[in-house]
Amino acid sequence: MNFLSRIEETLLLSIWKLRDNAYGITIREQVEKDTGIRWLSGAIYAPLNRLKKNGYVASRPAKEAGEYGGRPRIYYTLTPRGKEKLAFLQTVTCALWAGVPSLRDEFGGK
Amino acid sequence: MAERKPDFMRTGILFKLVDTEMASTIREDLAHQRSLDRSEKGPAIAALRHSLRFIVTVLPLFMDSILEGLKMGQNDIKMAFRNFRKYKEYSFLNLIGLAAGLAAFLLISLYVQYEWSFDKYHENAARIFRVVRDKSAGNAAGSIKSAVTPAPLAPALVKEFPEVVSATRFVIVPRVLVAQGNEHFLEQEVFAADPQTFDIFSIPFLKGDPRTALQDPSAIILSERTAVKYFGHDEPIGRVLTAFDGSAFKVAGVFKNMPGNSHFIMDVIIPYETYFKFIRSSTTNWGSNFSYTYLLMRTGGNPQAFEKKLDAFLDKYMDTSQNVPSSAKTTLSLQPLSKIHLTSHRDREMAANNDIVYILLFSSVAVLFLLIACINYMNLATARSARRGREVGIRKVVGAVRGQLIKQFLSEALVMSTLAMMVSVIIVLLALPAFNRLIERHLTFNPAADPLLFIELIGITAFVGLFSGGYPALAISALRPIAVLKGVFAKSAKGLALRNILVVVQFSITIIALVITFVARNQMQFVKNRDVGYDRNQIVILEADARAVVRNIQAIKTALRSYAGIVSVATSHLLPNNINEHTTARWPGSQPEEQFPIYYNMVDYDFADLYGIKIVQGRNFSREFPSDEKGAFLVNETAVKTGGWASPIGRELIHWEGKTGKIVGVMKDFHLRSLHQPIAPLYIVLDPGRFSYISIKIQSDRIPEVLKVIKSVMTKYSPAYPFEYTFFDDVFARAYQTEQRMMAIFGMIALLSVIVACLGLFGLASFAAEQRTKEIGIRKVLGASNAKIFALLAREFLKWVLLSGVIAWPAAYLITQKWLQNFSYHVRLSAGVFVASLAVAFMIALMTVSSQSIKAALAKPINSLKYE
Repeated sequence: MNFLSRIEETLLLSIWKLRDNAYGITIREQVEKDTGIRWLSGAIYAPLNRLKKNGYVASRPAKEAGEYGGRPRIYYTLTPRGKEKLAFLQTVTCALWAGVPSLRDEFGGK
Repeated sequence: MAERKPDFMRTGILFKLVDTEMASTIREDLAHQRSLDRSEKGPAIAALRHSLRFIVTVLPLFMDSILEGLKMGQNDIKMAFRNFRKYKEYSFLNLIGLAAGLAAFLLISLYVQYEWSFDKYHENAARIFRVVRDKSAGNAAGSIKSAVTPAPLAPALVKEFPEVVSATRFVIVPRVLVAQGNEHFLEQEVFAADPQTFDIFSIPFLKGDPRTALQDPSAIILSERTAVKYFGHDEPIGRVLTAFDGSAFKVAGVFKNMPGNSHFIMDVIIPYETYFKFIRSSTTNWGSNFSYTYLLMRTGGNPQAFEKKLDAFLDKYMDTSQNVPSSAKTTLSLQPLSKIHLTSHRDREMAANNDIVYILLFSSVAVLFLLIACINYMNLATARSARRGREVGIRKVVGAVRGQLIKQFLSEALVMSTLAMMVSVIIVLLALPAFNRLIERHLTFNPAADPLLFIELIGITAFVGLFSGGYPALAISALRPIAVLKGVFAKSAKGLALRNILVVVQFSITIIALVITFVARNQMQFVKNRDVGYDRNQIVILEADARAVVRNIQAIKTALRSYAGIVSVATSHLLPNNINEHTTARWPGSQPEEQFPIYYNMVDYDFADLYGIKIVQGRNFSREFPSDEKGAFLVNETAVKTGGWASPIGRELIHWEGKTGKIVGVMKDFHLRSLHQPIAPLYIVLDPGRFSYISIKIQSDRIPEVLKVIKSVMTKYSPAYPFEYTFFDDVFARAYQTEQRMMAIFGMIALLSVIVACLGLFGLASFAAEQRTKEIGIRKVLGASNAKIFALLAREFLKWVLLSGVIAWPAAYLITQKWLQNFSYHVRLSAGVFVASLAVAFMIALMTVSSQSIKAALAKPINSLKYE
């Protein structure tokens, strides 16, 4: 199975964590919260677009009109393919980190 | 809400790149961030950040979509190559046509670009101006426009006007013998220049200090190549060169060779004041003009406003000096540095300038070439829709949508244009040396080393591909599958009409180029054969450089004349074909309003005879009239007419130096300058001691011997100078260099456009023949003769060629008429030229079409009728 780029992986993870509340603004904020960095919109949406085109992520509009411009908000969820990918990535990541003593105390985390 | 004002353009871009839902997401987030910004920083900053954020959001999406497009395009490119292989002959024709057109476009653009670039490399180019002088006539028509100005002008301008930051003067000293030890070199041009030169112009120094280099009166500054010429790779600074009869100069600086796109190129520079000491002339004399004046305007200075103040300025300075009489009013004007090369055509230009008319003409020709090449492609591609139609039909039946087909045909065109560009780059690289010789420039073309050029080439390739492929892609992809699969196509009146129009356009351009070439040839022939009023043949010209030659001229003349092969020897200040120095015609007691500008030349007793200048009234200078020695004039008929002199013989004139004498004869008018200019008033004054040229009339059958004799005589009197000579007819021809060059370029253009047009026609004819195979077969079976079939096929195209002639003629007439206006004396446009051009185009078209038509006509009907 292929790897995703790091930002794509982070996006998948954020959408998964947000469950039913994953839309543009929350996804970006989640990524910013988890990574602790301000992200440019372009750095978020180009990979998100790729994820969607490759079938890892599905989108659906909300029933009611949104806050800005009155258009319905678009929510994102993982497709089965996306979940499968995320599970694979979790396995690999855990395996990579297994047995590694914590580096945070010595080198700092942020 | 504020957000109700969505920017449609931006949203439009977004929708091009992503689907509606993704677009909504992005817009929502951007709006959200904007509203946060607004409450924190205010609406103005929020709007700005919003725009920036939009851009950085769209860019990565854009990159993604390009990458994706490239992946999809691979298949189309593969298809394109398969198609090329399948239709080899057609593809080859198309490739050659496009490549030839592109090559012509590239070559001409290189030349045009180079001509535009003249003098623009100076850092201050926009603020540098040349001051030039017009002298209007008191009572005669026509003013004299000169590039040279009085010596004190430059310092006075700096003193008087705060907007003039700096000014410099040049005098060009021709043919100076410079010695380094025992080695002598004849420098064609030595510049005498002010130290300010290097403040104004960007001439980087390799050695020495540009600020102080010219301060020392015995300094000399050399270009890099000249320094190498004299000193090899030794250190040149501080070395001594001698020039001007033994004066020593110390090398004070070496500067980088000036680029070829400069309207003057300096190699040797000496201080301006020093030169004036050598010629014992004063730098404060407002009456003598031979300095070029350049000034640097203050940043933000207004040249137009400045120019207006020059009249009053001149009154203040010039009227007080002694040598300026008259109503012959002098005015000064400014020429922007970068415009001199293309627009200035004055007396005493520093070098032969080009003409912006030619440059514009060439630019349009270059664009036309590109269009012709594209048209050819379109033409052939649409003509081929018969064959490709079946392919399109099948593709559509199995589910291709039109967009895919358009993309496929565009890819094909792009691949073709890329290949053609590669071929044309090779053609340009191969042709450039010859082209450089033709135009006498040193153009370079190296896309590998010049990223900008490389990008330009890619841009042109893309344009050619999309433009030439666009129409065929739309037309072919629109074919209806049922119709094409049943075999009904290509006969549509629209397609045919378009193709015919394209043929007409191409041949019109070809015919115009031919007419221009022919007219230019005629005019050059006319120049060559015109009776200019003096003899041009069997005259050897020597330039009198050494003082020894001037001192011993009588002995030299006697020595030369004693040889049987030499008919006569004359000396003169200027040669009769280019009398470009002028003064004001004055005589004792003349009123300012009677005076008029007049050209002059100083000659000896033999000048008029040697050049066969006819005397229509009075007599030539003669040794039998001792009074001639003290001052005698010959004037031309135009001078008599301009002065309104009823009886010119015996009238007095004052030479510009103050010498007064009588007019002894009237010369028949001759062309004292090139045929571009009208004949102007002229006097020649007897002054055997003042000359720069020795003219020697020889017998044509003994040229080598005669030259040997001349050489031995000259080296006896000026041993240091290398012996150089020219023939007068060559000197004469040099005045028409620009036209000769233009004619050569247009000849080339005509040739190329014929080739390209014929390639197109050839392709069309072969397809027409192919499409009508069945028809031809049936006609033959029914008894049509080969000749009839041939006529049927050929007529189809040739009538359009004839129509092109009719369209091209008026355009060609206007262009050539305008061009001929450059000459005061020119040929009359004759109908013959136009008919001949059409005939040439017609013959070539006939030959092109014939090969295909004959083949079709001779084919056995049995073969053509069973081809299914």
